[in-house]
Amino acid sequence: MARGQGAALDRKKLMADPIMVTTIVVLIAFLTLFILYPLAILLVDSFVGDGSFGFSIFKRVFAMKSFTRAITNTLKVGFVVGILSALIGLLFAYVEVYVRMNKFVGGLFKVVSMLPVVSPPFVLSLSMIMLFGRAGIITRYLLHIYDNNVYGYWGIVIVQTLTFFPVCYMMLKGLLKNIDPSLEEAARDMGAGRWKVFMDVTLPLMLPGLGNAFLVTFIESIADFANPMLIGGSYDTLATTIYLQITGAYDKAGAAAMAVVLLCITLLMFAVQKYYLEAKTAATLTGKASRGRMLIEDKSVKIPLTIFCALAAAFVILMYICVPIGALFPTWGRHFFPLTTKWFSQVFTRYKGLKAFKDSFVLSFISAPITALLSMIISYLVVKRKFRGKGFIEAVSMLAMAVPGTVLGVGYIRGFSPEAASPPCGRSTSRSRNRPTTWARTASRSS
Amino acid sequence: MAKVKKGVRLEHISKIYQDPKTGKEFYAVKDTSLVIEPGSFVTLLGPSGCGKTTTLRMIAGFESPDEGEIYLGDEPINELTPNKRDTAMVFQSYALLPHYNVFDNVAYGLKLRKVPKEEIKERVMKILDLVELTGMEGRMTNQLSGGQQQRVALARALVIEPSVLLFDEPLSNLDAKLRVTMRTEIRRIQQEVGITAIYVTHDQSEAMALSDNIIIMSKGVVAQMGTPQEIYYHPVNEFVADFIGEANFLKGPMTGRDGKHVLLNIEGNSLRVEGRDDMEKGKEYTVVLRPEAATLADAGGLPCRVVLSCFMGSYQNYHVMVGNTLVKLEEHNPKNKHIYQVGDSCHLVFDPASVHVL
Ligand SMILES: Nc1ncnc2c1ncn2[C@@H]1O[C@H](COP(=O)(O)OP(=O)(O)OP(=O)(O)O)[C@@H](O)[C@H]1O
Ligand SMILES: [Mg+2]
Repeated sequence: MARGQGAALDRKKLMADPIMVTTIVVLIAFLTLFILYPLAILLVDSFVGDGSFGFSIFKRVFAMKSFTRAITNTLKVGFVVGILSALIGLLFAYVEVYVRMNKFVGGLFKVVSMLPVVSPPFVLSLSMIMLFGRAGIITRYLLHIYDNNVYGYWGIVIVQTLTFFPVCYMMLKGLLKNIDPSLEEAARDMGAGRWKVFMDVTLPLMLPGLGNAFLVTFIESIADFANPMLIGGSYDTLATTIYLQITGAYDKAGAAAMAVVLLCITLLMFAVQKYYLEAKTAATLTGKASRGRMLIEDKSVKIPLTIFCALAAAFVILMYICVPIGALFPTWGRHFFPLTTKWFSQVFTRYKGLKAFKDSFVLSFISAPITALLSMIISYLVVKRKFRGKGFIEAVSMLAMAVPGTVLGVGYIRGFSPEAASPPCGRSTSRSRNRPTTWARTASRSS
Repeated sequence: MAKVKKGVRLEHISKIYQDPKTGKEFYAVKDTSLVIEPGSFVTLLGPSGCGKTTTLRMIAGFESPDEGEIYLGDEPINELTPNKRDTAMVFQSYALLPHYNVFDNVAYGLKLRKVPKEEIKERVMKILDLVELTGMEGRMTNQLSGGQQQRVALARALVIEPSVLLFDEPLSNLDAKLRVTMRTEIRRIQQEVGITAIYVTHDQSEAMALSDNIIIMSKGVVAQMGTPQEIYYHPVNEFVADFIGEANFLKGPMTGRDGKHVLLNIEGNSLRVEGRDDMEKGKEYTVVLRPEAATLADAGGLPCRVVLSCFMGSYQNYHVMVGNTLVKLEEHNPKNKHIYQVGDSCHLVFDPASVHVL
């Protein structure tokens, strides 16, 4: 009774605020139009695209070797990248939280483990090719290997790992900081050495968190379009296969079915991550540290960890340095001097660079404020207000977070452009890593 | 426990920390020397921030002293890491491993020592019996009450049969009643096992109830070490006297000597108290008077005026002015005694042997 009364009261209060009502209505319309509608189109396309309702399109795409291979490829890459990113993230996080480092070295590691977050997405693919490709500085000029092939599985794995490990690093750092140091001290006091303490206390407490980091990376990896496109070579992942299915085979229905498969994989992972691991992570770590953590000063721990981190850091730095410096070389991999700025000027004169820049900026300028505004409105509504439809807004925002950009992109092409196959998705030059369109990114960030 | 009992010795121990804000270095513990007898129960008592935890953690090996040497028995242990030291600590937050059940928590130290499985089982069960947790060995630690968790922590420390048990405010997360039960329990177990125990607390009644010896610390140095009685009746300075229990300080110069007794001039009145041989005529001295050691009477003693008279149940609480000095006293069992009211003039009476001259 009281509950019904409360709800009625809430509704009354809400109705007295027309701006709020309008906002909610507009928001729901927005989310429906830009997230649900394209996804619905995908479903319709994949189930009835050939005229009759059923699984025939799915049967068709699953019969395609290229598609099944893309699925295994994607899962393989996602799995390995997830594990590597979680481990490297853990390494950097552990060193930062547990080991006493010289201020400069510690600061350097911190910057290195954040750099990929703020850098444009495929810079790493580019530098990978420039450093280790057939004309790569390192492979050709230092090691004299003339036929090194960076394109393919390892290329994607390395680039994606470097791109995604910072996310793991940040997640794990927060968790490590939350472990009550006295747990580890107690184990040590009982007679455990450093390694034993790590294996018996730190690692078990981190396991849900590591699983979480792994899954988040896994999701990012299988959704990634730009890197596999650039460096994947003939190694196709789901995202690139879907793209080719539209641009190459002009098979809208097939692409839609593939997108639905990709979506299902992602949603499954996302559900596990969101509802199982996140809760578990929170449950094991109810840290209230009594005293600060004594940082490790033992040389036997510090030196090997420093070496590992330094190697990883050197690699990352190398990757980032080679782009700006490489842009100054007269001919990449052949002539290094004198440095020249001719490429920069050519960017604008010969390659329509100006237009690309303009497009990027325009898209960013449009998407950034919309994203900010939307996330503000949605979080305000979700946290502070009670109204009918709140569950809907919450769920759709969450969905947007989980949906790979390629999937949404295919939906947009079908949903919003009359001649399906052009313009091809994924050509976004804005800083959207794997969200083909500005709005998709906006939508997916706003939750 | 057929082990030789070991004591702990600190020789000129100092620990320097950096103030995280100003970056200035300061002594958290300064030039501290202590001897803790084998098998004794010693508490480190002092106000917050005086260096108790730091001292304890240096003994455990979690911090290394910047100066001085720590001995366990006759062996210097500065170079040993915590896992190599024959000490076991009971933490304020219990620090039970959340992914182990009670049995595994207690057995952890024995597993590390590669004790055979059968023996582990036997020893763990015996210790759980000692801390009265029989039947709980399968529970996860979050299925235990605070007091039970503390018992597990104690069992875990005891089961590895260390030479020294270290406690850092182990009862401060428990409610008042349980604190009292648990401290009796800890004392019982310590005496049953006969282990050396060092116990950090800032609760003086806990220190009194538990200890063979109390070490009072102040700003990184040891102010006094002694039995609870010594500390209470013969504090070495005003800080100790004031920190332990309530204390009144009566100040005045010495005017003469009368055998074992000395005469002091307190607020214009002559006071006869037990003195020491090294006291000099004309010098200023402070007399420590505990509130329960004095009563009010119509004659004798020091004349005073009542400024507060308050019934507290088991005692009548008075504040009186002796000249310009405020004296607080407790008249126990006040039922059939004369109650003085605010404004009354009367006399403060006490036994010269029950006060202590600093
Ligand atoms: N890691 C540290 N870095 C800098 N200063 C520290 C550090 N640990 C402790 N201190 C300082 O050293 C002094 C002694 O600390 P300690 O923890 O030994 O006090 P305590 O007597 O145990 O106090 P409490 O009763 O509040 O637990 C305090 O002033 C504290 O701020
Ligand atoms: Mg302390």
